[in-house]
Amino acid sequence: MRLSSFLPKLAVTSPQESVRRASYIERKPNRWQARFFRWVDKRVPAARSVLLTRKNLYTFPTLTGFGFLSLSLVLWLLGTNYQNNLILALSYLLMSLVVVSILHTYANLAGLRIKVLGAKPAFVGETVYFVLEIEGARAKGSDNLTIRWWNGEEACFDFEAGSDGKQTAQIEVGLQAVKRGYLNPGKLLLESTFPLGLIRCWTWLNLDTRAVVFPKPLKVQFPVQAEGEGDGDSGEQVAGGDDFAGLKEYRAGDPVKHIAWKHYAREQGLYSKEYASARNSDTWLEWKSFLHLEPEDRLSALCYWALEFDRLGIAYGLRLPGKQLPPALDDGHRLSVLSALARFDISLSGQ
Amino acid sequence: MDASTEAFQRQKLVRHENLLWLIVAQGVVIIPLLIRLPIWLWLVWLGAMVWRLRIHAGKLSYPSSTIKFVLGGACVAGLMASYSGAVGVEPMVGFLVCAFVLKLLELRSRKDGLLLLFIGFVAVAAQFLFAQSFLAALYACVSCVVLITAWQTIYLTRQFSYRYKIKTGAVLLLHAMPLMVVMFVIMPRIGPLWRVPMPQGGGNTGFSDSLSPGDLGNLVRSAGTAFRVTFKGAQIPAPRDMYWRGLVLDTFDGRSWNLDPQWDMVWSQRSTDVKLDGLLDYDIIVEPHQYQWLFSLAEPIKVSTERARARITQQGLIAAQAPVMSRLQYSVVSMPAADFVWPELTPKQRAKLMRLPKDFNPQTTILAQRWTLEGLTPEALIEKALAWYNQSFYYTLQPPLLGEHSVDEFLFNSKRGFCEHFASSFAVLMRAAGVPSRVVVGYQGGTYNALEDYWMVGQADAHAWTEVWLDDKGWHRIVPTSAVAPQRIEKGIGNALSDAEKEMVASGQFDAPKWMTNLRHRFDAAGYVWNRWVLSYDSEKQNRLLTRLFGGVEPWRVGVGFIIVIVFLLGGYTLVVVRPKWQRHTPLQRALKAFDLTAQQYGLTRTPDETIAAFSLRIAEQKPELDGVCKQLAKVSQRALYADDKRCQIELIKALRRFPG
Repeated sequence: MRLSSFLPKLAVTSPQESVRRASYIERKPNRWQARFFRWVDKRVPAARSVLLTRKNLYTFPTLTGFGFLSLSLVLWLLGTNYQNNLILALSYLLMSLVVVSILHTYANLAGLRIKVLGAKPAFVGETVYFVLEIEGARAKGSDNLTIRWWNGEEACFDFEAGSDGKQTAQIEVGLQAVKRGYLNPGKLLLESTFPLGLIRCWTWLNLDTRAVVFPKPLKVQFPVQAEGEGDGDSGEQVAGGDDFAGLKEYRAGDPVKHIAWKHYAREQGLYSKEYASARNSDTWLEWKSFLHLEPEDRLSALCYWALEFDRLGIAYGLRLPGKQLPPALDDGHRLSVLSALARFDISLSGQ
Repeated sequence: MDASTEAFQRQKLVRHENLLWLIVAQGVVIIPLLIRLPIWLWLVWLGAMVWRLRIHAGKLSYPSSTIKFVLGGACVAGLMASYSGAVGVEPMVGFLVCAFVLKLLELRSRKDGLLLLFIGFVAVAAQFLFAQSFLAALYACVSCVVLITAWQTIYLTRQFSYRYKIKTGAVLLLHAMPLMVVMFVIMPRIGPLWRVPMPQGGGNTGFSDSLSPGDLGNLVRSAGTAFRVTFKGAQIPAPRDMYWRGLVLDTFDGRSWNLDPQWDMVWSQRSTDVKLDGLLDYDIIVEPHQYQWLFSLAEPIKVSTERARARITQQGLIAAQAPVMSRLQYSVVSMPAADFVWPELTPKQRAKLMRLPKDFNPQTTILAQRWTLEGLTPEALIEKALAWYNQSFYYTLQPPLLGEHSVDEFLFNSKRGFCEHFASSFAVLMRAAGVPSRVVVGYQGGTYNALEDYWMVGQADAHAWTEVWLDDKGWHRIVPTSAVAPQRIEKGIGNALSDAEKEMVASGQFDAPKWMTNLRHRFDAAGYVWNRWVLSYDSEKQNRLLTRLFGGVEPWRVGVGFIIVIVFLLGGYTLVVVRPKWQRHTPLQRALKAFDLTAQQYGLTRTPDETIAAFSLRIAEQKPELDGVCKQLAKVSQRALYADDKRCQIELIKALRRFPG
């Protein structure tokens, strides 16, 4: 599998990682492309699943195709000048080959069904992989298909024929994430010139899918939290620094001095003692703590520390203008924190 | 596909497997060309192949541009040296092969592979410059399959057996064939746009423009075909009367008979509007023999060809405008020589036809003079000479060698010879006796091929005879050989020779086992069809075929014809493929569908779980005017459901179809 199995555990993307694939090309559709895309949009509204038929497949000779046609023309001249019927027949054979390969190229793509399974979220600067399912009805399978988002990197794949009636394959099409937020990939190009490279058969698919792009983690100093500065509900938890509040199951990263050794000695399991003060000193990731940074960088810093706390096993909460996530420590919490950072609208911050 | 294959695909590079296929395809394509080119090109090919494979193994690197330049220059120089700078087809093909082979050394990307394959297709066309037989076409088909397969592997990344790959390549070719045939038949033919050099081929075949003792003896041992004839009218001469005249030799230098260099300059205007019973109308396809003369039966009055122009000479021969370099088809109308009115010989012509070199063959001259002194008429002279031949001459394929006075030695010493000895000595004898005469070379007889209704005339049928001028009759054919061994003329060369000699003639093609002769006939018939319908398919034949198929040659007729054909094909497809699918529904299902459609016209739709009976009762409630019909239908449907009787079901189907009638 080309894709590094993604889970947002990776704290900081290594530079090698981000240039591993063909780099993103910042481009806009040109005028004709834009017009064409509008036309495609009108013809085929966005859908989760598209069947390739003669209505959405286009064919046209490639440069090689035109070259080959001129070759057969040269042979025709040769046959005419030598009055050689077999050379003429050969030139006609080559021309027919171009015509026949239209059908073969079309048949290679026709009947495939492309389904959106979803998208794997990624950080800015990474590649977002959209997971598609291809289902084919052709017993022979399909060869040498190239797929890419209209401005993304291309991937080649074959579609194997299955022994049972239904044949499906999952492929992941990457697109460089450049901006935090939702990534709408735009049109998907699926094309093939199989079997002879003379004819290109392609389709522009309008798939109904989007991916979440988290901010790029930015390593900054964690600011000293001013205790009293918080909202009222955090203030009342300040009292009783050493109050024993109960036991919880030990997790890696819990302070050693909090381990309930008596319980452990009785072979009742490994527990951590929870103190009220520990709850009070719950870590909060605050929008306000990073005011010295640019708004986007602020989100990036929050992202870094969220991942860092997650790694260290410290429960953390998130406070953004208009949004608050209570402290917790699990995969679901991490995803909602990162998503909140991804979706955050800076204009709401009042700046 | 795995990651490395995918990388190759994205970077459009040539993989190991592609490389092997490309090398194999190249080999298949160029071997027939290499056979006809200088032998050192084999080494160039092998060298390039080994080099490229070593590059792949990582042992050698791609040649630098200097090395490539040097190699290319060396090849060009080598070709120039081999052909001593001549411009022609062989050097051209040599350059093509060099470029094709050296291209291997810079085969890196997919683009290079494609270029290599494209040159390969040109090389297949070059094969046709040298050979156009059916087998050559078959070999070219194989070459195309290998080329297409190699081409396809460039784009094919899944693992398949080589058999499967060849199969898919062949399928592509097969799919392209029908369209190719259609284009071949209907695309308009035009003449050559500019002059091109022609291949030199394997040298001249048949007899040459001079005849010395022993020439024809060598010719009859070759098994090749000279030409094939189709008689168009009902009039077909007996094989023993088929004297195919090729060339008239009227200059004798004491040993050999030679062609008048001006022979094809004097045209003969012959009236073509003769209405005679004995007219022969026939088509001839002549094999390329690199000479200008064509063959006909005496006396041709009309000749027409498609490609090269040909005319009738004063000697009654047919001369093409240029040497025959590829198979040529022409049609001739001949009239019986006896009915032909000859113009009188001019004194100059007469003198030329009686000229003999001085100091050669004194004995023959003396004998002829003695006969003249007896006061014999030309007819009597001929009879006397033939009687002499009959008495004391032998016919053999292995005549003894003759010295300076070849005619004297033959007539008075050896008395053994082949047809050219007889023809030559007879003409000398006649000239010495004051009768204008000349030697004719051509073919006699032919083998009938009943499969395709044509006559095949082979090199083994080569023959020579004499023509003498009789003042009241004109030119008269005399075959002195027939005076010696009449059965040869009657039954062909196979009978006149001794067993050992038969071995020599055409490497035993006479009296071969019957099945072998049959096979040979079949093979030759196939070749004939190939020549007639493929190789010599020209605009005239195209017009005829299109007129026969579509009633005319206008494009709209052809278009309409094809539309009709396509409609027929689609109809056939519907009958064979679509209809069975449709018929998979039972008649009851179809009737029910029709019934539902009718009900929908009344604004009522049957729910999926509703029985026919329930539905028809519902219709009856809503449409009182259909009450009777619906009640009846409900009853029929219940009966069909519970009676389990074929007849009830048929009744139901009928009722559903009839509804609401």
